[in-house]
Amino acid sequence: MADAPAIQLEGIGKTYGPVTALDDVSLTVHRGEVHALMGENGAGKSTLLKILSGVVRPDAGTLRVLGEAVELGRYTPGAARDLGVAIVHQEFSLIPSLTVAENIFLGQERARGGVLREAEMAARARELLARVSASVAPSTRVETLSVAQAQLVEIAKALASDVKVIALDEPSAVLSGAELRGLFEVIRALAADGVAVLYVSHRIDEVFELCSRFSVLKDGRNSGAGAIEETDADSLISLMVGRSLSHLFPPPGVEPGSAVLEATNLEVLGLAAPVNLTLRAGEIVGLAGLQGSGRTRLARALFGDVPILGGSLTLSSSPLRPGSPADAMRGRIAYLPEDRKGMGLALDKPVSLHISMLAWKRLRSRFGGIGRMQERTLVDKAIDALAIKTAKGGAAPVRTLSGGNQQKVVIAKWLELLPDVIIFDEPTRGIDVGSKEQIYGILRNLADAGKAVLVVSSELIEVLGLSDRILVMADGQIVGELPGTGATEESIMRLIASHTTHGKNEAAA
Amino acid sequence: MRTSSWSDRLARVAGNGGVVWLVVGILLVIALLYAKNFATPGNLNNVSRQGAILAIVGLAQFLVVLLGHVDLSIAANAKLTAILAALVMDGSDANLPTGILVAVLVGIAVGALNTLVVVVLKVESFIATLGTAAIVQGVALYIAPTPVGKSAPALTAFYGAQTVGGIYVIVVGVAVIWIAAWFLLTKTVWGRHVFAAGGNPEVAALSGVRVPLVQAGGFLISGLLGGLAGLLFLAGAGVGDPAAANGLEFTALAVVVIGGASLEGGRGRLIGLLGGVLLFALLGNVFNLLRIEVWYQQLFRGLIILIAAALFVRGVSRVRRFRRRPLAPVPS
Repeated sequence: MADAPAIQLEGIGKTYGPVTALDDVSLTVHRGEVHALMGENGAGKSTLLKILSGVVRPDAGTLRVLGEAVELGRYTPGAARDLGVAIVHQEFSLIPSLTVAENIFLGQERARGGVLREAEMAARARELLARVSASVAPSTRVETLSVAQAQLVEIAKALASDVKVIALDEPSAVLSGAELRGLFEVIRALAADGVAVLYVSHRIDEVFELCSRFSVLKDGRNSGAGAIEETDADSLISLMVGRSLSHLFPPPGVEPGSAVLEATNLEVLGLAAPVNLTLRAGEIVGLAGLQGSGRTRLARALFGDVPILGGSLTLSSSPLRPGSPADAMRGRIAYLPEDRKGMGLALDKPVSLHISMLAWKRLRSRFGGIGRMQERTLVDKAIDALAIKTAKGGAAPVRTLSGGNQQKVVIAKWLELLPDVIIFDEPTRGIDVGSKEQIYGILRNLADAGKAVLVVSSELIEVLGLSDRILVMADGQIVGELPGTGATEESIMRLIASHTTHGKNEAAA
Repeated sequence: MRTSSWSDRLARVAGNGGVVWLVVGILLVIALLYAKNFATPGNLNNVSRQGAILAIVGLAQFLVVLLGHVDLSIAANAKLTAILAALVMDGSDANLPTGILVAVLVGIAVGALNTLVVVVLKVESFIATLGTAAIVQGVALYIAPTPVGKSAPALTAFYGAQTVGGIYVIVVGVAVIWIAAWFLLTKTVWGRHVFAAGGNPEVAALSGVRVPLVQAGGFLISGLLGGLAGLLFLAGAGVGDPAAANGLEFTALAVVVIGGASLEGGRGRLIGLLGGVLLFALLGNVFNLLRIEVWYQQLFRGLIILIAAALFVRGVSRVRRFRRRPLAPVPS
């Protein structure tokens, strides 16, 4: 029994229309090990997890759980649970209005004749919560928990059935340093109990600390697997990215010019401390921090989308107090949101509409309408300039473009504002490596053309490779600044960690 | 942030049904002080019987709202049921069992129609039940442009029957139904799944809850309760009246919202709903006793609904914030 792998996926293939998400992928996870599943965004990790959890049916391949072949045609989320396979998803899979115990036993309630056995469930919930070191009462409503606590409750929920395999999808994305340590302890304890743990991440340091074996996916294929102790960070990165990192990022450009946007003691609603920052022409400034550190909040305050309570903000030496995005846009500040599909694009509308919408005022013809010819010229010019892969004229709906090209459309749109300051929030989220490289090039060109560029990103590699200067945020304030050259993932994480989280009792907030 | 914390707290209290009970209490004090005949057993019994129908349709609406839907067909359902049962009974006790059976079947049939449109065809429930309500109402008015049929004498007698102490049997019956609903919602797997399916249907489905079945159960029970309300109308009026239950679907929705249930689904407590039902039942009675003009009563009801809805919006925004990590407070 110890010989049979807990999970054995072989020759898995999955296509979505013309897009190949997975091609002949194999993955073996043994009992008692913590196995890292790594890869860039869009490498196919999520699809593989969905197949493992029974949500998505693969087109090809086989699955064995503890040596037993599983018929993938009948493999549903319920069947996965019955076999002892549990997934802790990246998005919340808890219901906020229910209590912790109610969530843990949702769909697998202890009952006699349809009548709940509350006491039994509360007692079992307490055991499970103790096993994951979560100090919450079973009767607490989930909506009052902190994100870290909620994550532990999700793991407890996974453990409620007799779990043999547990997969965690980027659990670290939302956790701070101390919270992460606690999670690692829980994971190690699970592995020691003989549970097979699949840990999905793209953070190198975590993987070295926690995992014993690894598998790397790149562009939907296996690109490598082995024991962690026989590899190093550089080879893992090149397995993930397919080439050495230094080639992905453009070299630093021109010397920074004068200050364009300056914030002095800027008080932003929801941030813990006033913010000081300067964005200079020709310079890329990276804004790093964990999720929830206030990165996006700060960026959106500069764009007039989060209230500014005090302090001063100057744009090219004249005071600015954007009360709305329209104000900020009049000041030629552009903001590209992290949620590209939800907030950045009208997916069913054509490429041309997006590219020209901010230029309509300039395109007005003598008769008050929009000059069709000028619009067409402008759209074609933008498609050429950013090498957007779509037909000339831009008649295709944005939905039909790949993630990278969609992002280029968003960039093209905002460039028509003729901005002086461009804020990119997660510029390459969900974009393949090839397009990433192109977008990095575009960002550098914008800076070289004299724009002030602010890049908000949760991917440290990106911040490090791209920025001339790096601002680090933690717990709602800027905790330090690092030069672009010489900074490392470690130095950033150390800055974040050194700012001890004053959020132990945040649950009540 | 300080300003939002007290309103958050208020929203929480409202969500628990606390505010509505406070208003009920104030109304009671006013009634006791100024309305001389209010505290008489006769008047109180009268109010309780008037509130019985609202308690039934409010419960029906509450269940559907917990599932994240609304049922605007409850009133039309009650109307059609009352008319068909009156025709079947035709003033004879011998036809009483058949009449009750017809009422139950018609109610469940309306519930099944709603299930088909909302759960199977996945039409937004607000517009779907608006449509089914129009159809059911149309059928009712086609059958009975003017009052038709006659209640069985036993049913009418039952409406007037009192237990020891003068409490109406009907009120006791409604209380039994409420206790059953409380048990179903809080003590059974099905009830738990109602709250889960209303709270987040995707998550519930991924956790193994059979969401469509739970939703179907909600609409069928709502239909059944609508049919029972129709029987009560028939018992009270004695004939199948096409004007019965006019506008009741929105009154039912109002007491649900006033009682603190969230129209987004997944949140609501019976104790709050009871407060909402009591408030609306008492309002009419107290205002009449105080000889306040009817339009003031309407104004007051409208204000209560608006205030409740405003509190509810705050409650929902509090929930939405959950998805983000709580931010550190702004130093003041």
